[in-house]
Amino acid sequence: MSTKVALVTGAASGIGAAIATRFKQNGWQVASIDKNKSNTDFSIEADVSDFKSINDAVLKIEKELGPIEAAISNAGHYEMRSITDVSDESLIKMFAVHLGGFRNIALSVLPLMRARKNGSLICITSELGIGGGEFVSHYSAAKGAQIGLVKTLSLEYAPFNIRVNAVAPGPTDTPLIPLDSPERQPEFLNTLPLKRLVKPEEISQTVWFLANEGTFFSGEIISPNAGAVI
Amino acid sequence: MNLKDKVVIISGARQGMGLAIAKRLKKEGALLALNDRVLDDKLKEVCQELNAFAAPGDLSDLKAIPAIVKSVIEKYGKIDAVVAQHAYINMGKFEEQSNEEWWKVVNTNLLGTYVLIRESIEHLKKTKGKVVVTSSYWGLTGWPEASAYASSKAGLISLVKSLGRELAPLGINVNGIAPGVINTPQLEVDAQNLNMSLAQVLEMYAKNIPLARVGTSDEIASVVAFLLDPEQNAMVGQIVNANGGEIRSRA
Repeated sequence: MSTKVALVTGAASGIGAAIATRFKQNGWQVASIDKNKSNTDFSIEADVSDFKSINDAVLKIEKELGPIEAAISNAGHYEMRSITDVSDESLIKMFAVHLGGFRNIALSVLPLMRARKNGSLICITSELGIGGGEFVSHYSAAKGAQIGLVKTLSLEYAPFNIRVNAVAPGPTDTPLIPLDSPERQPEFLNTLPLKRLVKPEEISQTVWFLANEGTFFSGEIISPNAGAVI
Repeated sequence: MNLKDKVVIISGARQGMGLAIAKRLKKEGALLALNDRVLDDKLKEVCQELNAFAAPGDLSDLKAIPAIVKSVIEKYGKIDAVVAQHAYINMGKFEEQSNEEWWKVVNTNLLGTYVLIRESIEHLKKTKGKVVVTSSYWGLTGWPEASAYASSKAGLISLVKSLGRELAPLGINVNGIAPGVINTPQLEVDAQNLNMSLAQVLEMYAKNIPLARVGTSDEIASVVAFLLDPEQNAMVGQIVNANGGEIRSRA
């Protein structure tokens, strides 16, 4: 029985919940940071864009469960609209949650992992951060920025035996894509080589692989995306 | 994960990464058909150890490939996955490389893989199977005095992307791996060519790798297992870079 500890942000639903479930099923202890309560071993309700509360939460998790071996920055939100309709507030919030949220997790866990010379930090970005997309200017810019940060941190922390990588899901069947969303319509699905949305379990399988067996990966972006970006 | 009774063809399986992949997939329950150039004692030994079917044949001889695939069908009745892992490398200055050497590299690596996949497609359609192609980070970056090899590996990347798109609607997932420097018997060849010890070569390569070491064949085998996992079907036409962080560009 392993007592390894994983931290997953945004674990209350969707991809984050699938990741938490997979680590749990494989004998890990899972801590969650989410705005909502999650069904994990240790659930902290906090906003990832607030550094102080994230840093406090990480310290509390380590005190409660032990050293975090894998940290998965997953919390996010999605919004489709033309760039001309994106307010400054909406833009700032998008970056605060995605780029800031990942940075806050990185800032909180990397010093601890560095002291132990061991750890894996995984950012859940998006295929839209690689290939862009229509009417997602603020989202894709924030997701692309995460990729730049992943690659940079991978270089800075590789000497400490810390691997920093990303998973870039394609359109995934989660509550982030509402039931009436264009991504669920046949016209869109037919544009995907796979002709269907990605399952949350396909993302969690990729994260699990990276955290456990992907020991020669550093600064890599693996994209299970149904062929949306090739 | 469970690959029980999944029939997997692995090319270049007698040593190095191919052998590690064979061992890993055997552990996951797969039925193996192992290809290498000739049925020598080493390949026989590996097949015996892994209870695998030997499907020898030189993949640079394109006319020989249909019979190789046919032999696997006769043995197992189906194909669930093709792992095109074989490669031939010949270092040399561009101007000095003969036509013959150039085409031997391209034929073996690119055309051999192409025909192996082509001949397997009708069987993969029936099983909704998978293809994993081993490219190389040199296929992204190019490399001095490896123009033929790098071109062949870059061609494989493009082949994976095209087939990823073309075959996904048929239920066949095609993906590739671009390994960085991996500790295989090829490094001993490199050491000889460079007049260095193996330890010196390992150190030389490690200097350029953020994780400060070369990779292992087992680490590449685990990537193949990840891509063949029956739970994973969202990977389509992707090139996965397992290189210790050396190259952070997107394939």
